[in-house]
Amino acid sequence: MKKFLQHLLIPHQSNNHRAKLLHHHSLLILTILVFISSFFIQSIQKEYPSVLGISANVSIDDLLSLTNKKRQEKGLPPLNLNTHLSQAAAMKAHDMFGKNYWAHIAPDGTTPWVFIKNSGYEYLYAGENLARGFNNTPEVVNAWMESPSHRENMLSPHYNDIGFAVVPGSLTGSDTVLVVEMFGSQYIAKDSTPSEAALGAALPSPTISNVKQLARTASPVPSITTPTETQITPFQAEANSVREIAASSNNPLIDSKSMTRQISFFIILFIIALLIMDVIIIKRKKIVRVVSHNLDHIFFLAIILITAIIIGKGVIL
Amino acid sequence: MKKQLKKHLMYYVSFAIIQSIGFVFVLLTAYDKQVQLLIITLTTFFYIIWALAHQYIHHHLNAKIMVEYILIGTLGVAVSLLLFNV
Repeated sequence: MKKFLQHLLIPHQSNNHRAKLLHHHSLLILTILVFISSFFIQSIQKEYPSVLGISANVSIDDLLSLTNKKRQEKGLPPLNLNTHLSQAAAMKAHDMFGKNYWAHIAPDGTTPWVFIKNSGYEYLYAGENLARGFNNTPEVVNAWMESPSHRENMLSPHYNDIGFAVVPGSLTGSDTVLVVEMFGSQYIAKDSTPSEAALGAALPSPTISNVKQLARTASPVPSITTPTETQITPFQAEANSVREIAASSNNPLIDSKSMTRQISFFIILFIIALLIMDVIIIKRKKIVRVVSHNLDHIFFLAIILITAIIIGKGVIL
Repeated sequence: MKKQLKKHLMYYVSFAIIQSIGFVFVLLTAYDKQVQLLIITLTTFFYIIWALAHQYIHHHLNAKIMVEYILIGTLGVAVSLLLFNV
């Protein structure tokens, strides 16, 4: 057994002074196995999503309580979960999956405010935070809090209401869990608001670049309007259904994301370890061989590893 | 390893630049996994070409070395494919 492992892992006379697992045919077999595993995992994920799928451990209740906790730490009043904003968030999430985009503004120019209006929420101020690919709720909230523009939304004194949607699906080529957070404060009826002229002067005009925060102007129609506004089919689900979407999809037997990450990390680290061991032993034994530079491979695989670590984290927008 | 680094310093610096450019582009295209995979594949291609050119310049290039670079590069792409799960 010891000799067999030595043959596989350590440069030795028996393996022509190169670990057997670094021989061409071993690398070829490993590469083919990785390709096959990739397609196999993808197939299982499609056929049996309850067995192998994306784990959505992001809960709306936790998102709300963590957001309000952050606000209370800053002395701000807590936000109320609003059915209309949750519906708007769900509509936005489904629009992103349907049109396959990852942005605040859809490729056809549809702004987040369109979804809020279509949900029946008359806003004075509104904002939107997006996140995808996170494993749990604290990661999402912390990522938003670390970004100045997202934090500004979460800690804005202008908002009274909040709505969430946590929706799994396939976006821009990969399965993911999308988190949409919509903020708002309602536009109160004419008689209880300041005069329109005064309101218009006091509040900043909405601009496309200021995507995350929009103040309604004095005019009855928000100044950001799109020709597609009437083409949007409102998502029929109520906020409770949004909760169900999140709850029903968050517990596959195996989380494919963490599984593929672990396999990838193991393979890369294992090959890097073999290459480093190869360099050290060959140098000690002063053996002359005709092989490529191990250092090249170590650098290359290390870059792949770092990339894997970075891209494995969720993304906010 | 240090000796090798010193001897081929320019090669490793340029190699690091190519890899870093690829890495930055992967970060910038976080919105699309398919584009990221394409960038990783292109960076791997440049890694193989660059390494083979270097071996050729130093008269070390042979079929065995060529195959080894291609295999390691393909393994890197295969692992990325597994990781992206696309």
